Amino acid sequence: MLGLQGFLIPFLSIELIFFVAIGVFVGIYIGAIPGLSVTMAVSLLLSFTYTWDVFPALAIMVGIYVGGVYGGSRSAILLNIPGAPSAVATGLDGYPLARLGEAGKAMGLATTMSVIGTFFGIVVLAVASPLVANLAISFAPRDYLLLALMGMLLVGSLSRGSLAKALLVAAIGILVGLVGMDPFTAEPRLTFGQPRLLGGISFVVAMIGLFGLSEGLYQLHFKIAPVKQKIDRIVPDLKLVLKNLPLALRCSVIGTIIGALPGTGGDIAALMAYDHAKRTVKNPSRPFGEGAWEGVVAPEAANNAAIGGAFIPMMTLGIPGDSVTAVLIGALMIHGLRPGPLLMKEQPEFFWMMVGSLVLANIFLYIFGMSGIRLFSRIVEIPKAVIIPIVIVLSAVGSYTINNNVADVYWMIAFGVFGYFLKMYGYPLAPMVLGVILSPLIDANYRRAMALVHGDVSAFLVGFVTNPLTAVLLFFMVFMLLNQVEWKAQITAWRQRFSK
Amino acid sequence: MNEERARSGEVFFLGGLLLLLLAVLQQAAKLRGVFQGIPAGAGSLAQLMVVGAILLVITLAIQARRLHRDNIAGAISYLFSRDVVLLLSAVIVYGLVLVHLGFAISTFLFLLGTMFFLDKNNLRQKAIISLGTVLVIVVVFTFLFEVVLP
Repeated sequence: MLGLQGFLIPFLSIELIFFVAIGVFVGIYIGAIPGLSVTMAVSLLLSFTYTWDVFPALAIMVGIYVGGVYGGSRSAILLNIPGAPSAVATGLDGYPLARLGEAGKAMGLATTMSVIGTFFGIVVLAVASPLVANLAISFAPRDYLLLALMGMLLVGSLSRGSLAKALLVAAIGILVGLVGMDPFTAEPRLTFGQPRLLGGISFVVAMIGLFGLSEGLYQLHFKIAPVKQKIDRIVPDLKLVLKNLPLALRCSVIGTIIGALPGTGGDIAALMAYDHAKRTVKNPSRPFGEGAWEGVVAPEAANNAAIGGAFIPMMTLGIPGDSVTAVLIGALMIHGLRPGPLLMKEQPEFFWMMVGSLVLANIFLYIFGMSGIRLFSRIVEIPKAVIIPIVIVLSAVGSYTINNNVADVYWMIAFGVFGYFLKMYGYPLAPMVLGVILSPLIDANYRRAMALVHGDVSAFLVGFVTNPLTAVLLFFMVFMLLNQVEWKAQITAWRQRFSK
Repeated sequence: MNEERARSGEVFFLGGLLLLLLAVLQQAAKLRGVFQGIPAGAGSLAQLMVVGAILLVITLAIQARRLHRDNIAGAISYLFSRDVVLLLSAVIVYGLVLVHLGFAISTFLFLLGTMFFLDKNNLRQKAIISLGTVLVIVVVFTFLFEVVLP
């Protein structure tokens, strides 16, 4: 009964409805601006809401979280600059759709799938929290390492053409991610003796440069003309939604599980979902990377489903699922509440209020997500001489705001020029971002796993088959690896070689 | 466009990348890692990755060399059109003067200058757009997000 009361709290208060709505609206626009992160916005709100009651404070933060995760897709689709790391995968097919004049419909579909993904995540949060939380905490460093390595297998999916080029770019991405102070020993790593590099290179700066500036240079070089957008139909037709519903649900499962794992979030979930779509959809609407609807559906459902997932360890165990939920834990603690099993047992209305706020935020996500699409679509039609300088300025501001440091602007420019060269020579950019994102996860968990067996390599390897959870993950990884080979074509090639 | 012609200068690009990776290798080799027989050292992943990257660069350079014989002039003309040179120069100058002139002035000059040089029509409209963009960014970032712009 307390649960139902708690769930209804945000629906029965005009004040809370208003705060959730404002949060979602602001979140969408924060998410759309590269460099402005949801974490930053929620952290800023923490100082504003310090003196507020706990419910309005949580309501606006939840709204920003839901809106912000979705908002990243806008700039990814329209400008090929992901507003947030979780929108990198969306741009792979979203931007080609904008180049085909379908930006409006792509954003409409992204909104619909984000709503479905969020809803799925909320249902799992409400129904199966303890179960998923137990699964999440049973992940050992070895399992995280396997998960990160599974992520690296996405390199093949994120590239077209030469796999060697994609692997090289991913390796460079991993090296970039390793720059800075070693988190275990605090020794400088790949810093060339420069103290400025001790803090590392922000992957958001790398992402903004690689996708923003390089795209501007590339479009100018090839004099790519603005594309007239078809904005007569924004709401995706039911047939398209229903056709993609099974994929959206599968990707929501991926998103929720990845979101529930502490240290991983919507960015990895979206990339894994994109890979899943590429493997499982046999007849996409267009080839992946050239404007397939499925390439928008999968990452958008997954990154928003990760929200519900991230709340699971936060509410049930008091462990943050990602950086935003870490700030939310801080917000709860400021108000004298400590999330975890005790809060769930003694004051379940807080958990259910959070679930109610998420549902309300999801409703507003659809309303605000669908509005303004026509206006947004016009961005693609602005002449390049006007839009490219503006995009570069936004990229510079976005890079600067991460650490309030001009050096990040120089890094953005350097990555932009490097990205331009990569593009010109047919090297895919997405594997580099993947490498930068996964690098700390691979490094930290490999070393933790090794430390647990005291550096014994044989014990480290045996651990992969003796632990049931690890063995299951290993099985999936091998399956993914084998799945990358086109066996039919390979066998035909072998037969031909032998017959010769 | 012929693929071979299109990728002119890739060998030089890979050559530059190789030099960079060799410098990274020198840095990685200083750390404790697989090179020193410590598999869980701080430099293990860096050492493995840089060696892998170097091998890939060499393989790709050999492939690219087989495809076409490059010369520096061809590579430069392939990579840098007038507009690209202009925008790149403007971006670099913008980055340098950002701290000295402040965000508002340097951004306005950058926007107006690049917009005008990329398309010489309608200067007044471009000035209004530049000014409007600077104002919106300053208001949103300074007052709403409390970000201290340079």
